[in-house]
Amino acid sequence: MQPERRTLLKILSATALPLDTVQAAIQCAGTAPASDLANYKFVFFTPGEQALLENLMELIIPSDAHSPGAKAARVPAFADLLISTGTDRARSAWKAGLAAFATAATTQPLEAVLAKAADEEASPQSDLGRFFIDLKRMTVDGYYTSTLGIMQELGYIGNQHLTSAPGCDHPEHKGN
Amino acid sequence: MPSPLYDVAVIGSGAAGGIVTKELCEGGAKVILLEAGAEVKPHQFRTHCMPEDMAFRGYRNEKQELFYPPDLKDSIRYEQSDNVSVDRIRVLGGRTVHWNAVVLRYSAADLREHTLQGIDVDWPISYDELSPYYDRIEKMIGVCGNDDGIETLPAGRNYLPALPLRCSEHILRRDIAPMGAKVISVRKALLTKAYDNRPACHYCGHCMDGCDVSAIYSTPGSMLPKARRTGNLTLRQNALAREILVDKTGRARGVSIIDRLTGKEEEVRARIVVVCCASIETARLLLNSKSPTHPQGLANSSGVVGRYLHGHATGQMQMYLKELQGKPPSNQDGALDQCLIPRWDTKSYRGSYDFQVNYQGYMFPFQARNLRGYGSDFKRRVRDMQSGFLMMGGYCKVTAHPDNRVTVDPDKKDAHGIPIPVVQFRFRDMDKEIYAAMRHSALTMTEHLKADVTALPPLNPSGFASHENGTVRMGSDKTLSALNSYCQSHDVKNLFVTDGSTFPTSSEKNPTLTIMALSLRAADYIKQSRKRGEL
Repeated sequence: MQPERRTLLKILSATALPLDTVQAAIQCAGTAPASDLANYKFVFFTPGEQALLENLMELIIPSDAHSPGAKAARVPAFADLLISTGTDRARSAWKAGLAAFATAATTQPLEAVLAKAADEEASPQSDLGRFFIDLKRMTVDGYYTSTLGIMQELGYIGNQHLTSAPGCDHPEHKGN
Repeated sequence: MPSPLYDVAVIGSGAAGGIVTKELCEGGAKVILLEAGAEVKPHQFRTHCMPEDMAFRGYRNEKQELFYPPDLKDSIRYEQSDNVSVDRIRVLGGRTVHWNAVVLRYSAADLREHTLQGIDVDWPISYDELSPYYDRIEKMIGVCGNDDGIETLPAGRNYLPALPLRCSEHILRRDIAPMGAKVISVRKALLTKAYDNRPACHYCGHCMDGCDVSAIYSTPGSMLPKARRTGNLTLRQNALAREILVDKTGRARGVSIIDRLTGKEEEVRARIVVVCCASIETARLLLNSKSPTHPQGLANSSGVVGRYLHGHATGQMQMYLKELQGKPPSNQDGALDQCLIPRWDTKSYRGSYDFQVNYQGYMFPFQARNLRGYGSDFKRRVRDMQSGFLMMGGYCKVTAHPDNRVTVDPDKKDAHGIPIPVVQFRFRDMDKEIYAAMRHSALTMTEHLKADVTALPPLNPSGFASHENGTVRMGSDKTLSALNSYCQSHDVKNLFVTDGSTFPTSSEKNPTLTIMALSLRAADYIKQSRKRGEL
């Protein structure tokens, strides 16, 4: 997928930002291959793991009225790409983590298993709690670096060609 | 076949080498600039790439990978060290193509810590001697900022208009004022208006990934065009210095280089050699340059080469200011860090820290990892809180200790057959005291700021945030230092070292401006000596 500059411009023009502050969306001049998850073929997770991962990631960052969630942003594919090209340690941790979730979910709903694991976020004690940290981090990293996450969900409007430095335009703060 | 005889061989094209090369070329010397890396042209920079423009969304350092070629792999070792790392970029321009361009003057007190605080050593040069060189460098490179009237952060006389504060930084200024801390516009080698045939900054917010328009100072964008115009510059890229060669009397006669592309070794002959490879590589090169006249390595009769490695200890904090949460998204990228909290406790060495603010950019919302929870509520909070994001890093002085050092391992060689550097570094009690004082201030700030704090500086420091200094220190006593105050080797009169390795001590301030000022002073000295026929 080539950089979606048109999409980006469309999103930009839909914001309330005054046009005179945005001269042009700046081009990615680099030669690195772009992220292409639309046609991604999973190489690491099995179809079963992939389905479970999709469910878990969508629970962590769900679709809502504001924007689509992790599944639409193809975060599971992002995870497969990173894990399959990552370390042996990460690969075994993800296999084991998903297996632990799958086992726990045979006796209770997946939502309840996730909730329990997330309860330990501040100080993980169990295998599920520890895996939750990795799972959430991957979901956050994948989602908010997708065009959907950063542009549509967060409304990022930086990386622009401006003629002056963006300062603060809140009258209540400028005087400090 | 031996090379032509150059007047000067400059090794390394970063902050030090760029200044020395331009100055000496303009002074009429035939200069060969040896750079281990190769040019990455501005159109190759990945500055403006959004995460999706890169296969791994930037998580595999894709934004900067062109600056770090694969032959750097496994070419350094840390032994019995605390959590420190050094930046060993390999590209034309060195770290001037990968920096935030914060340029702060050392103060008179920073150069006299032994006299004033009873710690470390005094520099063999005073602020009054250095100040004219700061003036000239600031004019040369273009610096934005203000004279804030702070004695411990002396101001220049030629500043371009200062960067404005963002809303979060105005709030920071208001709320930490009761602590005695000030928030000022940062001083950066960044053009807030067109200057010296370079355009003004366009505030894309990605300075660290290479500035494609040279609004940030860099050697290739600012100094090399001037050096080329003289007709005196020979640039040799992919030239890895293996050893500095000496004649029978022990004077430097040139540099043995390995061409990284062909693997061939050659001798580059020069009347004067100036080493500008930064603390680790400079010490490595000198220690690898052993000869019968210099059995401990070059410029090392004192035994100090490689010793007294220091730099910055750092720790970061992140928070979301309540006052700004829920505000509509705004363009916060700007010029990355636009403000600075200078050192404010100036009475004790324990106050030797400052805070740099908002230097990580907003394109990658990595900070969401640190917000607890998940689900719809988590997603909404990430969105609502984003406008209130504020991050800061404390930068602390690290003392100069002889056992914090770089050595070379003759049995372990890099991809080109050159013995690798070995770093041994431990934070000492004073370093931990200063870091603890910084951390205490960081916690106090969070009490003054109404914010959801998601990360605080960890209990233990990490170093050096690319600000490593020392290893070839200057001094008045030849038995305790390697260089005089003109960056000239005590032992080898036609050998100079002008990078951060020359620093006898570090302050909390970023070192680059001082590296440049020392380089300019050394270049003046070389020019005058050449005129007198001494070198």
